[in-house]
Amino acid sequence: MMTAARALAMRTLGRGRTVTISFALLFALYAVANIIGYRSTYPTLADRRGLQESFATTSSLRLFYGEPHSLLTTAGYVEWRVGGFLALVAGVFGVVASVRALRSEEEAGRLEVVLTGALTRAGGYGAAMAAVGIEVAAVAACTAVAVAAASISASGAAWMGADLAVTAWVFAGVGALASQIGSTRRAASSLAAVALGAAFALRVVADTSSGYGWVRWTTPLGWAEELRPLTATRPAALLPGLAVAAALTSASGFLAARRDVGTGLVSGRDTASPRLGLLRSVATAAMRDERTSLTTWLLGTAAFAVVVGSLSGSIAGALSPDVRRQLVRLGAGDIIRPSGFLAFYFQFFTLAVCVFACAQVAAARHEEGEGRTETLLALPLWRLRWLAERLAVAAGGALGIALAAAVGCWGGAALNGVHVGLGGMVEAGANTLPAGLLFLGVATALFGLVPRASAGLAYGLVALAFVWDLVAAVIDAPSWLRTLTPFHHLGLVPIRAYPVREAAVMALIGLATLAVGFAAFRRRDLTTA
Amino acid sequence: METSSAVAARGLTKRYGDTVALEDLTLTVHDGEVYGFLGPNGAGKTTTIRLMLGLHRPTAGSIQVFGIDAWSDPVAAHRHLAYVAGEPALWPGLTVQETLVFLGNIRGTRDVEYERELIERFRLEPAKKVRALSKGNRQKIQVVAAFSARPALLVLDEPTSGLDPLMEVVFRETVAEARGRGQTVFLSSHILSEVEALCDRIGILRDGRLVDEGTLDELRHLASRTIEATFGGATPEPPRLEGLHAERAGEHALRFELTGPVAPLLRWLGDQDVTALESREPSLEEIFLHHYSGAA
Repeated sequence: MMTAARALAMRTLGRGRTVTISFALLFALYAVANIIGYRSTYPTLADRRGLQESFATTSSLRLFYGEPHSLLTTAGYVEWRVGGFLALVAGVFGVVASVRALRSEEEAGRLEVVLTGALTRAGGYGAAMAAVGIEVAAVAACTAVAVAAASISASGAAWMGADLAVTAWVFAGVGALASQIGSTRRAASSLAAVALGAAFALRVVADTSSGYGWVRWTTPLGWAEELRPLTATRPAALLPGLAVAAALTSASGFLAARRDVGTGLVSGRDTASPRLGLLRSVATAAMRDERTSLTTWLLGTAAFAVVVGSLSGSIAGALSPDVRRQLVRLGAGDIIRPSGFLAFYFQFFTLAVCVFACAQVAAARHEEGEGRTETLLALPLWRLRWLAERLAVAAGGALGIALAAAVGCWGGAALNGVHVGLGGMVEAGANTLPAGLLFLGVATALFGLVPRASAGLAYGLVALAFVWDLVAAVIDAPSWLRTLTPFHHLGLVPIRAYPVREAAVMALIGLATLAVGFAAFRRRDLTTA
Repeated sequence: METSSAVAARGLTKRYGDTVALEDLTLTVHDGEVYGFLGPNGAGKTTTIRLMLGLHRPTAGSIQVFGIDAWSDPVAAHRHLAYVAGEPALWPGLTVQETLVFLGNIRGTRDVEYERELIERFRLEPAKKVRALSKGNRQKIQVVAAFSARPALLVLDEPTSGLDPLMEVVFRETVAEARGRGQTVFLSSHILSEVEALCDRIGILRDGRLVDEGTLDELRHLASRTIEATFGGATPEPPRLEGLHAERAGEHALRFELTGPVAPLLRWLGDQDVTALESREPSLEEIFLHHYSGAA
């Protein structure tokens, strides 16, 4: 029994090692880059005062990073800038790790094989979650070591690690519970993502609306903020997280031991009356297959855009004329105008478009890995046509996301009586597309050349490109190194001119890599998982 | 000449890295026949089919379907064929009915009348979602989709591995029907009774090579024939003859396994006090095992 459990835990760790290592590196890199960047960008107390008064007091920046307590010391800055953002990413990691270890294994039928051996259902659940616990601890420990190495106090670094570990563990519990409820990986991930989104929304309300600070105690991401690991540590803030994590994991274990293997508490109906409308072509059938994911992307982008748009007016009003002058002097004057602020946020929408493009190519690869592409290509269907139709869905979705971002920002601003101009927002939306096309091409080339590794590599490249743009600026990398990432070339559309030349280069690279992908796919064997 | 055959492989070779999956396969399936493709797991049956469908690219040689190269013009080749995979890969969220409509839409043609008949014959529930079905039932969807397309060639890769004995009978009837209509069937299988019952010609694949091919009668020539003789008195010392192996089968009986001509043994038996004589043709199973026992 013990050896079987250990074997299952080891195998779960083995399967998840790429994801775990990627997250650990992302956490450590992000933390160290911000620490070094803060010290080099704001070396004197006066610089730091300027920062404190300008950015920290605007509710818009709290959206991502939470409420800053002190930006005059490295510890205070890191706690705000690193802790606030990484808590959200830790939540994502927790969900990904537990859904992968539990529901994906069960959906693939591997859990059934394991349970016919020497393991009980409770034992199988315990072994998988033990592996998730080890992964969470490893990522948190990596971050703590990185923070400590960048000469933040060791105890502070340890508290920060503990903070991230508890947050990740709470959302691992959410993922575990979602894995009991939904009967497919997709259903479980969507449920958990909704919970994470709600937790984030509550934190946003608490951090950006005065008088609602108490709301912070209703969300795990708020608890992570309240711990204040590097400045005025309040260990008691770990308790609600620990309690909720324990409750979620034991409740999920209780359910896992009592339900039929292979089912969820909410399994969809097994019969349905036929809906034939979307079954005419590969593209429309793919849209039908991906409808949950497409809707989530569009609505999520639109909701986030409305929030950002509604905050765009607050930045100018919150600043004293003195601070404004200082910002202009720092070369960040554009950002205090609403449309400038929104232009800045469009880099996140660009990131969304790029990740979406990779996700769609990954979905096509998943289809191939499951053998369904073979079923289709045994019919009189040209394989390049199949790929083109899948990519058309990706392109259409990317267009939709860009439009949702543009209209959402404009609408959110308009709701708060701020006029930013729909045309300018559409232009900013259009500016997300060349980078999206570039990554669509890169992902397709990888799909053609190295099908099995393609999805992980494509996501990794997008993450690397995005983080490198943030990091390269603050660590003073040589300029030619900074220009390597597409995110460097976005510009601040609409307050600056649309970067036509850069957009054309990105689009051309995208088209060239697409051609590589098509040529490689045309020549290779279909490959199962 | 090429165009009169449904499938023609010439020197077909496929390597995956260092692994040789198929080595210099030359094979012809004539128009209108049911061809049985035999071999144990890993012999290269599915590889042959993937090459035949243009899903994988030959390392050397070529394979044609009705004279059309499978790799360079798969769409034209596929207008003449339908495929049933050994591991049915369908869309879990679609119902049986939706799956058949979708596959029919992508193909461009389907015989709705015949499809309805087959759904009934194979006892499929059209409103059931694929994710709620067993492997056998998912296989039945593929069989219905393939046969209702009424293609000139049916490529079947272990189509009955998930079917129960009742459905297996229905399947055999359906194949016989297709043959009666002049359709060609390429049936890959390791179920010997199925191949013995259905196939006009049989190819036996071992380690990526075709080791034997022919009608069941032709294959029998190569395998050993069994002759059992019972004697009135004491069992005589068996003769030493080319291609003959003898062993005791009870107190007064000998069993002969014979691969050579029968006449010399009969001449010898004529001089003995034989009270009973039984001669048996080798079954397909014995032929099959004959080819595989040499492998060790």
